[in-house]
Amino acid sequence: MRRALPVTFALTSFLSAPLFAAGPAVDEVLEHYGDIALAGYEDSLFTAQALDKAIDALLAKPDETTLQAAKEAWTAARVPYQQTEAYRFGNAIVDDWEGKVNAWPLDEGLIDYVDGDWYGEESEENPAYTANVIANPVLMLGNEEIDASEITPALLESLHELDGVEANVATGYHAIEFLLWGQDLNGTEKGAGERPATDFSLDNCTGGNCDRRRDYLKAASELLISDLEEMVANWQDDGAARQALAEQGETGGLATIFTGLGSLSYGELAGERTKLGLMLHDPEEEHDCFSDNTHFSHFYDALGIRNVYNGEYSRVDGSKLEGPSLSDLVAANDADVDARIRAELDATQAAMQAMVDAAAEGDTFDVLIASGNRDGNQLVQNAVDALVAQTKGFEEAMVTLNVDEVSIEGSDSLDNPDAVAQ
Amino acid sequence: MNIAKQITRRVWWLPLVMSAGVLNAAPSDEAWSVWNEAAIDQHVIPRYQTLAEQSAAMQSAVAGYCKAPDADSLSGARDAYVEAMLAWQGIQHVNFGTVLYLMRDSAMQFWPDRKNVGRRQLRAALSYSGGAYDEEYFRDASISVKGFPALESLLFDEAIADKREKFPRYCELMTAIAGNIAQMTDSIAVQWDDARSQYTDAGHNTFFEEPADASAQILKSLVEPLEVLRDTKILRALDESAAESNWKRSESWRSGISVANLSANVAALEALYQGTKPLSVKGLLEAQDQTALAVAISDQFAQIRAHLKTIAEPQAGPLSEAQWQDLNALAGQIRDLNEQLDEAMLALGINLGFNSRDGD
Repeated sequence: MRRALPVTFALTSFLSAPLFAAGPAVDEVLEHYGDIALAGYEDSLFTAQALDKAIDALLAKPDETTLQAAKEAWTAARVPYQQTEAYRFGNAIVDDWEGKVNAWPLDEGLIDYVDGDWYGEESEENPAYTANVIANPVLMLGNEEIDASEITPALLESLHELDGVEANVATGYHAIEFLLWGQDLNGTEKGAGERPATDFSLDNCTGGNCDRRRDYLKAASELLISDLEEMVANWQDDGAARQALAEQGETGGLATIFTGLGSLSYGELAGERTKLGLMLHDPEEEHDCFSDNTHFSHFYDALGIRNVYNGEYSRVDGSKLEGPSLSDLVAANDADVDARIRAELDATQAAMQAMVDAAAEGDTFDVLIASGNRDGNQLVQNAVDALVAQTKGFEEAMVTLNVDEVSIEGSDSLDNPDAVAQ
Repeated sequence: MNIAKQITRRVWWLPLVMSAGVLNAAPSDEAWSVWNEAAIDQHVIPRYQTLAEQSAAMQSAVAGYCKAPDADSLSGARDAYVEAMLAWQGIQHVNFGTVLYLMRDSAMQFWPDRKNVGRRQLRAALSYSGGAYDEEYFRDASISVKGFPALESLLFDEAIADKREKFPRYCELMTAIAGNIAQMTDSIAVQWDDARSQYTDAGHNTFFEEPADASAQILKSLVEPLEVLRDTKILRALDESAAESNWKRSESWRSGISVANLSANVAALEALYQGTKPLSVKGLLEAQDQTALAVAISDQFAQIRAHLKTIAEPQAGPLSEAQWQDLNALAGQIRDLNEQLDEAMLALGINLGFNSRDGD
């Protein structure tokens, strides 16, 4: 009853096939779309396995060198994963799963110690705001007692979205990020989290409960691997994601792709992850708030969108996938629309590159969105504007391909960027 | 897994087969022009004027409390807040026009606050030592301290007297936020003098190629807010069971008007659907031979309105099983209305395009 809007996929099968003048066969476009997904999730898995090895090395000999290596492995793991986010919206099997690996933002006080002055002691919305699993083998939440004596992947799964609160993120990339970096207490000034390596030391423990912190980090890393394995399996030739896509027919399949591209461009990346931070001027409102890696996360999100549209993907081993694409299909029907979208996608990459360049100078996303940093704010606004523009391009392409009866997730304040910018 | 979140994220296809035949028989340019003018002049502008008036009254009442704080002036200020907030609820659905300038649509009400940002930033604002809470301050301030939720959290704090002692600038900030709301709403209303013709002359100006393009933008504000009502205002507080519910996740639990907000929202959408003259959305539907659908939508509005009258504002915290079921049923009624209105948009040949309201 509460699944308010049962997706009316069935209806789409009654629709006539899209009206195409020419271009590659739609089933080949859908097939290649699936191939890029498989490659992206495989790369995500490989880099997560490399991260797991780096975490083992950190735990074997916790020092600044091994911690730095683990951080670098985490950053590298984000590169392929972020590019897969273009598959999230539209493919229900991805969207229902992604919260386990990339949920954000999080109330990190659930996991470990936090700075009380910075973070505060309580939240009206979240009873587990400062539950601190690492420090507490038994968690008391209201009248409920949770046995957290052994920190295992299963325990973390049970704590995830505890009490129905989305900010209770116990698993995934951002939980691991918090454990590796710690809180970024620099506000909107330069600098990321500065957790000492000794937080993982059994001999010289800082921060308390190092044994449990080590268990947490390892459990979260193992869970990330098993979650990614699940998604790799879904995109194998006969995997559930491929089947679900095929069941939607040609129109439904193309609509799924556009839904992913448009919803990530518009509501999620331009809105929730970028514009909202700009309006709140809040350093916690950045996607990778502990590591200050947000510029790259956004860059690779945008790149993933362009990959899917262009039908290309550069794998982490340097090899390249190329094949029949939405771009080919749109171009065959209206070359101008395709050229415009390609230009918009390139413009977005340029706007993202500008944020990457600023970050190289120490002006990371949290610095750029600071209240009163007019130049920085503008740099971020440019990325928002570029994403909104490409979303409109996708809408045009959907009309071109006659698959425009799709709802794309949006965000407040993005409808009319010109007015917003006044 | 939070079901409300899943629903919000779920993207769905409109059942276009149902009305594929009527797309060619959409209302004429003339009809849309008449309706656009009616919607702007009879619905949008008067409601912003009411909001501006109520916000000015709220500013005075809050200032009055701060000048002479006692039980009477406090309840006067709180009552004035409720009136202004309900006026905002009566026009909150509009996501176009002057409210968007300077991001005011976001600044009026930053909610829901999933990460407790407002509380943290409000605490920082109370300790601010950089000068007055003036126009300059609000220009660079976070949206979380500019609007109704920040004011509510200060004005409806149960320990307001203690807080005034503890934070020397408490009253100053509270009055300044009320003043900022009054200033924003006044500008939103006044700027419609210039913005009006964008909509009333649509098709003859640079803003809209055709009258129906302006209509589509206005109609988005009729249809899309229903998803916000259901998912964000109701189901988010309900979660998956009464035990997991928490009315503190509702929109105005501090001031105790979350249900009243819903009533104001539904009344406003009903007015936009059928309250304009000489043409209304309902009338346009009837002219498309969609009388049964047009009447069914009216009936659904009436049923939701009647249902809301029977729902008392819950206490903060978990809901009883009966409250949970009742609000869940209300969410179902709103979902049905949403589907009916989606169907109506197709019948009118209106493609709403992107779902502009909720992200993740």
